[in-house]
Amino acid sequence: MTHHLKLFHAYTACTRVTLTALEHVGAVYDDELLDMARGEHRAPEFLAVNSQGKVPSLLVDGALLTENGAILRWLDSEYPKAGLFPRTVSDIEYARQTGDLFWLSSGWHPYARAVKVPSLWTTGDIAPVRERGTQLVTGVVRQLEQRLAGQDWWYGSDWSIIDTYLWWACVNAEIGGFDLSAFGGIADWRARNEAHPSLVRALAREQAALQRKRSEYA
Amino acid sequence: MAELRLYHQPGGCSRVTLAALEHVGAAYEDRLVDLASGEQHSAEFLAINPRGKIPALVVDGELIAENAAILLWIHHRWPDAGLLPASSGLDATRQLADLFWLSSFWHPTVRAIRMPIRWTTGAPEPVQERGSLLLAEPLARMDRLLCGQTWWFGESWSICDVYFCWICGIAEGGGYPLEGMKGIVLHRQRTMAHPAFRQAILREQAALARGQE
Ligand SMILES: N[C@@H](CCC(=O)N[C@@H](CS)C(=O)NCC(=O)O)C(=O)O
Ligand SMILES: N[C@@H](CCC(=O)N[C@@H](CS)C(=O)NCC(=O)O)C(=O)O
Repeated sequence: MTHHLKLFHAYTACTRVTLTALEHVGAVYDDELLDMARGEHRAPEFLAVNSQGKVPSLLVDGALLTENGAILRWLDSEYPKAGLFPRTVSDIEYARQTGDLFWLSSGWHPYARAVKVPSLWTTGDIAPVRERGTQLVTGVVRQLEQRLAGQDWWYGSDWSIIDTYLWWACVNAEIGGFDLSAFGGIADWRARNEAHPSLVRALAREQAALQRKRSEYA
Repeated sequence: MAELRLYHQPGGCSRVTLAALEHVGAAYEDRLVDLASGEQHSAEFLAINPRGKIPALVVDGELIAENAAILLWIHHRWPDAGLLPASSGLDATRQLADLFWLSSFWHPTVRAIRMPIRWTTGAPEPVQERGSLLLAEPLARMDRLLCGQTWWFGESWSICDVYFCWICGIAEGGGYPLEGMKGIVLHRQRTMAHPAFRQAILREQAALARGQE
């Protein structure tokens, strides 16, 4: 059964991961970009959709789904053959994948936020929060670098949406000033990610939404 | 039956995991990890969980990390125990989203209040203040919700109640005042009186007593 899907997203936000997943499974969907700098995620129109004012927000036949990790799992169950995650042979392996999603959303994402938008974690001087964020990101980036030493992707020989999620977190930390240049494995993997057709299409879709938004203002 | 071993710290977020294991009646071993002395960074513990975090559950020698991932695994192994209300469909996805919300918003935010030095190398106060600001609106919303319903999901208890109760305890421990929030105060009392929570506390106490021998 096909659902009517609409994704609310924002430029460079973690919705890049959601967009990539939608592209990867081949879903037909509408999308709307919110201009966070103008506070569109806090405007009454959007709060009527998601009272928490967060993206990603996915409407499935009008019903709201939130949280990147939950949306990715839902898409995987709707499109089991698309390969968002590698097939698992045991419930323990499945739980470990789910654990990776939680690691990203509760670790990587808030850590990268401390580097890129430290003011979200403090009312005071941002420098010590960015410094701490840099330590936290260093810890997880090292784990990624180590894992990529012997393999192309997080789970081995095949791409999964976890790679896109990790890619997004790394790039966001970099936008915030985190220096990735010392990590050679990550540099190669990043290039592979950026050549992946699903991410390429997702970024094109994001760009198109941004253009639409700009022409609205013009 | 699988062999289970939980690594935990009394009072830590692993209290939620303990409550889940107790609720389903699982047989498991438990091991203390002393976060205060940095045992999570020891070579021995990193060999078990390279991410250096508790809770960590070892199932027949294989690690499952991340609290919510462990909770979901327990729910699927003991589907009739009532740890969570849904097992499939859009409701299960919503429930999963709630777990992501607890783990990625609530937990890091109360950490800012209770353990601000996890988010800064500088003065703790502005991080605590920011944490309190981030919490205010969602807490007020939860308070209103819990004034009108008994549990997180409405009529029946679930492990999300324990998770949220633990989160509120951490916020309060960090100095966030909860007294005025009737819905939350009463919800905490109900949750702490529930057998799963009480057994988790007993298990923590037993582990501490063992540790002192
Ligand atoms: N845990 C959530 C985090 C979502 C989130 O923080 N989204 C950001 C953009 S990356 C956002 O909407 N920020 C706006 C705000 O928090 O007001 C998820 O993984 O979906
Ligand atoms: N996202 C993780 C967070 C786990 C976590 O932060 N655990 C804390 C105790 S509540 C810990 O192990 N802290 C030790 C450290 O970070 O060094 C989860 O939900 O399991």
